[in-house]
Amino acid sequence: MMIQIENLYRTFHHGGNEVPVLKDINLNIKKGECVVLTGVSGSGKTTLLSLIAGLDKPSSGKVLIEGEPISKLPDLFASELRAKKIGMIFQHFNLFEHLTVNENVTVPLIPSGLKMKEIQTKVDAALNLANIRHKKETQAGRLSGGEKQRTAIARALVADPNIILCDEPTANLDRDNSLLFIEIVKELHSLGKTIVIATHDPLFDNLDFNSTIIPMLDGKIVEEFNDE
Amino acid sequence: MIKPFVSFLLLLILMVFMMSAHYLLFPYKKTTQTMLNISSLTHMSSLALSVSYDESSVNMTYPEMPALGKMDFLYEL
Amino acid sequence: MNSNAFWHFLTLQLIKERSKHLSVIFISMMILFLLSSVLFISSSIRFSLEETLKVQPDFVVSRIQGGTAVPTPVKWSDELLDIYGVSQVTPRVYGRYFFEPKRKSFLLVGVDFMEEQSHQKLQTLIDKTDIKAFFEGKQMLVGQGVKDYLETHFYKDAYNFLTPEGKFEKVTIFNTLPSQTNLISNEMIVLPIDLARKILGYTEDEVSDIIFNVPNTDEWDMMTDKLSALHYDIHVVNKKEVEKSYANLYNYKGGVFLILFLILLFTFALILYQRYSMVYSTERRHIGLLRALGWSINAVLRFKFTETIVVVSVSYILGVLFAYLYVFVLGAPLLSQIFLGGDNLTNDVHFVPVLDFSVLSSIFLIYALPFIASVLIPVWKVSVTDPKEAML
Repeated sequence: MMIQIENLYRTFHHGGNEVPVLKDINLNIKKGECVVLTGVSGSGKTTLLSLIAGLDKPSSGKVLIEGEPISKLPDLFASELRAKKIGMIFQHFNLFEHLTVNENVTVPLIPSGLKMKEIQTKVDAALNLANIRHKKETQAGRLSGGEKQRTAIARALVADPNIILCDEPTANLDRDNSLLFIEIVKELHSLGKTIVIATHDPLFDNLDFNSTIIPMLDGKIVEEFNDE
Repeated sequence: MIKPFVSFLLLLILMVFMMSAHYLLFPYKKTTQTMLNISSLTHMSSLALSVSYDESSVNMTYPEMPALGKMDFLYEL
Repeated sequence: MNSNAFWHFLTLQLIKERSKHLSVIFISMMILFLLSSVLFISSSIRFSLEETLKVQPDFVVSRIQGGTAVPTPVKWSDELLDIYGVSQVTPRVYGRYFFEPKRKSFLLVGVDFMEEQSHQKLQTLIDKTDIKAFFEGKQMLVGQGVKDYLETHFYKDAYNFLTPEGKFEKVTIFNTLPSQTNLISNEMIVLPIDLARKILGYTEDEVSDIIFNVPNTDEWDMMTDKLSALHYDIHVVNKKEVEKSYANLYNYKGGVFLILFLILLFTFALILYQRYSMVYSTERRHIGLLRALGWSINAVLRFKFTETIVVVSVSYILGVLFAYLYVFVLGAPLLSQIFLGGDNLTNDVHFVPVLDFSVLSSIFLIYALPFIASVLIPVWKVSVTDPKEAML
């Protein structure tokens, strides 16, 4: 099992009030599986994704990545796990606007211990995969939405992680770029990557490759079915 | 390191080098010896303090009160 | 973390975010420039003084009446020679001559050029000139400040001194004293002793004061008592007192400046802290993003620490470099007047380069530590927060 989630709760505290965002989530995701978390805004899908990525800590419960409880690991190990095994694509891309495409994609590999030449080789491969190599020296702040998305994809893939997490990947894209994104996901799926996508875009309801739709509502998983 | 930073660093190193060269090659002996020559010729080694020595600035109400900015007490030693 | 990749990214960030760093570097540089300039001037003056004090006489005796210095009788020299342990008794004739109408003054110093030693020293001082010509007629050696001032008042070759008897003494400018000695000779006019006497109004048996040496320093305390017993109106100053007064003078000035700068640095640290907090949201987001991309807390802190060290070091080096250039190459225009005054003659002083490395290191630490703390504390706070919260 690639990702295991056991009895996961996440509660936020706002001015003395407790706001439960995730309630008793139990989920197992196999290696190479593509899971699409669907639901309206506020259903908890982004929070769940953040907990899987180790960007947030659960109020109770466990998240295991390849058997390792990510939220309980010391920072050094948790960071290494995040760097090597998880690639995250954020809703608003979260690029360094003042850096170029190439420079943005090198960032995850800086602490890896690799030399610059080796890093550049991996960066070039990721840029090719995301089809953004032609914009390598363009400053990120000057890219279109689709190009920013592809840069974010390249950055997520540069360390060759086993798990790709996508948070509302098409929220800021037009239909054509959204379809292009789906094509990239299809290719990644064919490479055996485990993919988890949190989205409310209906384009993901009928994917032409094997995927699991998991609807969420009010912080809980409603039901799951396979799309064949 | 990237090129602009390397250029800047080299410029900085050059400036430090020039400063060091000036410091190390400064003719200390000659300067000091010349100062010593004047001091021993005149038997005076007090600083040329460019202060007003105008005696009329004495305050007649309090004649013993030293005026501000006057340094001549050094010369009266 | 491979240092090659780390330094590549670090220098990239420094260059790309240079607008953020430039303002901080500029302010730091100005503060360090002023502080270093003050310290350089102070060290240089102290060095020059310490060197010249080596040839300063051990004792100076003068005559005081009613709290005012009056001419000292020459016959006191003989009385001093009779005291055991006293050597090299030399009378001095000097005084201030006021140039009308601006009330600027020169320091006239009379030298007995008939003495063999004075003759030799004069030769060394003006070695490329025929010394015999100096003794023909009434000639003087002037300091750089005197020369410039006289020239602006159209006295190019000679000057007419007005004596107390109401007569004029025309004295020709023979040569200018070397400009490297402006620190002590800027306002000086060196004349034959008899001429100096005439201009300053001393009779043949009067001098300004008398100097002598006492080689055995253990006898110095007793010497003051012996001298006081000679005459009721004798005033004695020894070399140690002169050294102390100079040390106090420049320590005082240095001390005032240091206090001012400590206040400035503290204010600067507060401003920095506030400034870095203002860019907090962008900085916070960047740190959160680095954490989200797999950077550990240590990696983020190491990166920010090194970035700050580079900024600090560059500011420090530039500040000290420009201070060195300003003081030891350009002669510290304006700032030198704080130490040497600017009311009388302008002094184009040449400072001898003196670097006190212990003080320079202290300046670095006083400046660097608050700077690093004001940057790293907010960074650490953000780094230990969950990346998701940091990126909000």
